Amino acid sequence: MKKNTGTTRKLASALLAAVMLISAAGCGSAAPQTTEATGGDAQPAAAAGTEQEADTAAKTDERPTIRWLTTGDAAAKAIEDGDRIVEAINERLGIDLQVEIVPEANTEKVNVAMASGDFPDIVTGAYGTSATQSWIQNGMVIPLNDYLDDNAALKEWLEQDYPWSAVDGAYYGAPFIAQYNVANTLIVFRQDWLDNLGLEYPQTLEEMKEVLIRFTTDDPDGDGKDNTYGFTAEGPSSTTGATPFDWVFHAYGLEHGDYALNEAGEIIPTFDDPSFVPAMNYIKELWDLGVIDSELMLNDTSKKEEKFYQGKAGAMQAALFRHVSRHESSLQELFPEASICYDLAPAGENGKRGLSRQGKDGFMTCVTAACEHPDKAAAFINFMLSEEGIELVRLGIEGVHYTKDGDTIVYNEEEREKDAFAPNGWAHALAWGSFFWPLESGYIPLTDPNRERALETVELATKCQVPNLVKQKTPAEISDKSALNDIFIQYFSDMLQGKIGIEEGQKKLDAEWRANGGDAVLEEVTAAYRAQETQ
Amino acid sequence: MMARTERTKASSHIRESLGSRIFNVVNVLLLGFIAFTTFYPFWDCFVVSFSSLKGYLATSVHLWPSEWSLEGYRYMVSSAELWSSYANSIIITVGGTAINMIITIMAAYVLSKRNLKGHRVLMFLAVFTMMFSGGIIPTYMVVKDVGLMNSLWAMILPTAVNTYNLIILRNFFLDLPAELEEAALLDGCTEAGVLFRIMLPISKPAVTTVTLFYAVDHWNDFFSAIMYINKKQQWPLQLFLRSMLFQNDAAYASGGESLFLLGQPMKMAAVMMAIIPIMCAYPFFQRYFTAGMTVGAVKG
Repeated sequence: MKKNTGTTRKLASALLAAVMLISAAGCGSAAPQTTEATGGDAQPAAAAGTEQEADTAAKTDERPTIRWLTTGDAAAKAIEDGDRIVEAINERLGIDLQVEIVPEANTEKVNVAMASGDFPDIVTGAYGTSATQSWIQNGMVIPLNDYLDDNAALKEWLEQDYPWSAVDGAYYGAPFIAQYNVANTLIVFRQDWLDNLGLEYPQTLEEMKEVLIRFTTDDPDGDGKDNTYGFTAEGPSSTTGATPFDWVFHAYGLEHGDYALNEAGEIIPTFDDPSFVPAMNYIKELWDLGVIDSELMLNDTSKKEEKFYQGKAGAMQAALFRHVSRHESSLQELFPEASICYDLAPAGENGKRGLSRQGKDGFMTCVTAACEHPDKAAAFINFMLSEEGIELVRLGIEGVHYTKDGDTIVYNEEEREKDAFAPNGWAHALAWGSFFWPLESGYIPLTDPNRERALETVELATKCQVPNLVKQKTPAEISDKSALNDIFIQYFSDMLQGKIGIEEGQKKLDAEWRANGGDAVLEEVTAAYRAQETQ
Repeated sequence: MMARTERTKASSHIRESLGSRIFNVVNVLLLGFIAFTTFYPFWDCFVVSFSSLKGYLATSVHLWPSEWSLEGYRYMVSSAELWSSYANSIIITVGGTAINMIITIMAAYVLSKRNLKGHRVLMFLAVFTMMFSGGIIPTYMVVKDVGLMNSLWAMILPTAVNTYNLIILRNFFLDLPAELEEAALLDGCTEAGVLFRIMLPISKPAVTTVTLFYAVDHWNDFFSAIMYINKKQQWPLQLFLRSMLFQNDAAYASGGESLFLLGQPMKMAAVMMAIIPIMCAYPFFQRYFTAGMTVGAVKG
C-alpha cells in the first residue's frame, strides 16, 4: 500500500512537472510578430556576430515601431517572422512594422482593444458603425489632413473616392467600402436546361417568368420527375435590407439602392416608391406559381448553392467573379454535362434594370492618438494605397517572387511559399481586407484559366449595380436601420405568403417603419443628402 | 434463493395494465425520438466527412456515404495549421486543466473547513464572481496589463478557477466524514497529507467530473483566443475550425481567401477531427460522472 502510494506520488509529480514544462514551452512566445529589417537584399537577418547584423540591428533600433491592428484577411496565410514583404515595407518606409490580424476579422475584438486603451499606431475597424464613430468623437483617432500633401495616393483615395467621409472637413481615416464601384452578383442559369427547353437567357421580366415556369413544369433535366423549380437565392438581409428580388424592384423603376426620391424631391423609403406595389405583385405571382424555392426566405449562401448544385433549382442569384469556376465544377459533380450562363439582370417594360446595391459597409484605417510617429503611419497607409505598395503585396519582389517576360508575369511559387502568399498567383496576406478585396481591385492572377470569364462577370454585374442616394451611413441608420430592415422583411415575407394584401401591407409597413425610428432616419438621411449634393 | 425465484416468476405473471403498456410504448418512442435527434447530427457529420462532394450532393439525407472518400481527411491532415492548432489546444487543455485542478482542489478543501476564520466571506467573494463578472473590457485590460496578450497563458490563467466547479468540489469535501481527517491527523499525517493521501483518493467521482468540466471548457474555448491571440500560429483548434465553418461575408462576396469555400465533406472532416478526442475521453470518465454530479450537489 505504502509502495503504491509512493509510486503514485512520483507519477503525479512527474506528470505535473511535464504539464508545467509543456505549458511553459507552448506559452512562451508572447512577443507579437515582428520582422527585422535587413540591409536591403530582402533576406532575413543572418546569424549573430557579424558586422552587417550589428548595423542592421542598429538600424532597426532607430526605426519607429508601427503596430497595425487590422481585421485584414483572416483566411490568409499566417505572416511569419522574417516575411520578406514586411521587410521590404520596413526598408522602404524606415519603420518596424508589426502586423496583428485579428481572428475571424472580428471587429468586436478591435473595438474592445480600442475601448480598453490598447491603442495600436494604426487601426482598421468596421466603417459605418457606432464604434468607429466613437473613435472620432472621443479623439481616439487623429485627422490625416496635415499629412495629405506628402502622401499623394492617400490624398487621391480620400478626395476622389471618399470626399463624403470627411467630418467637418477632417479625414479621420482611409475608408474602404466593399462593392462601392464594382459588383459581381448576377443571376446564374443552367445553360443545359435552357438548351433542353429551347430557351435563351431571359432579357426581360416576362421572359424571366416564362423560363422559371418552364423550369418548374417542363422537366428541364429530363428525369421524368416533377422535382425542379426555377429560382433560388439567399433570404433577405437585415444588415442591408437587400431582398432576393431586388432585380424586380429595379426593373419596375426603383432607381437607387438605399432610398427613393418622391416627386417633390424628398427622400422616402424604397417601399414608398411607385415601383414597389407592381414589383411585389410580380414577385407574388412567381411565388404563387411555385417557381421559386419555397425555403428561399431561410436560405444562407451554402444552402442556396447546394440546391443549385443538386439540380433542384435552374437559376440562382449568386456572387461570381472568383466563384464562376467553383459554381460550374460543383454543378458538374452530379451533372457532368451541365454548364452555367449569366447575363444582365432582366429588364422591365421601360428597359430599366438593376441587381446589386452599391456597398455602404466596409472598413476604415485610422492613425490613433497614441501613435508617436503619425507621419510614418500616414506614409504606411499611403504606401498601401500606392501603385508601388499594391504591386508589392500582390506580386511580391521582382526577381524573387516573380519575373516578367514581356507583359507576362511568371510566378515563382517556391519563393512565394516561403512568405505569406496564397498559392496559384494569389496575393500576400497583407493585400486584402483593409484597403481592397480582389473584386474591388479587379485582381485575378494572370495564370488563372478562367480569368477572362471571371472579369466578364464583374463587367456585367457592375452594369447592374444600382447606386445609393446617400453614400455614407448616418448615426440613426447605424443604430436603427437593422431593426427597421427587420420590420420590412417581416412585411415582405407576409405579403409574399399572402398573409396580408400587398397594398394594405405596404401602408401598414410604412406606418410601422416610420413609427419605429424610420422618420428620424429619414430626417438625418435627408440632411446628409442635401450636404452631399452641395459638395 | 428459491423463494426469490418464485417471487420473480409470480411478478412476471402480473399483467401490465393497458395504460401502463401504452405509457411504456409512448415512453420508448419519445425517448427513442429524442435519442435519435441527438445522435443524428453526429451521424450526419460522420457520414458526410467520409463522402465525396458528389456523394454529399447526391442526397439530402445522409444515412450512409453514397460514395466513400477520404478527401476531406486528406486535406485536413495535410494542413499545417490543423496540427499547430491541435498542439495548441492540447497544451491549453492539458496544462490549463492541471492548473485548474490544483488550484480548485486546494481552494475547495480549504473552504470546506468550517473552522477556517472568514470562510463565509471568502466563499461569498467567490460566489460574487458568478453573479457579477468583470466584463469583456476590464478582463481584456487585465490580460493586457499583465503581459499575456498573444500568449497561450491568456487562455489558461484568467479562467484558472471556475466558481461553479469550486462549489461542487467544496460540497463534496463537506460531505466526507470528519473522522477520517481526525484519524489521519492522529496518525501523524500533515494537513497536505490529509488532502492528497486521504481526501483525494476517496473523492475520485467529484474530481473526475470537475476535471472533465474544465477539460471540455478548455477544449471548446475559442472566444479567449479571438480576444487575446492575434498570431495564427497560436490559434486553438476551435478557432481554426470556426474559420472553416463560418462564412466571412465580405471576403466571400468580394473574392477573398475563404476556407468557407471548401466543400461540406472537408468541413465535416474538420468537425470530426475536433470532436473525436474529447468524445473519446468521455467513456473513461463516465462511471465517475453521474456519481460526481449528484454527490457534489447535496449541500449548499
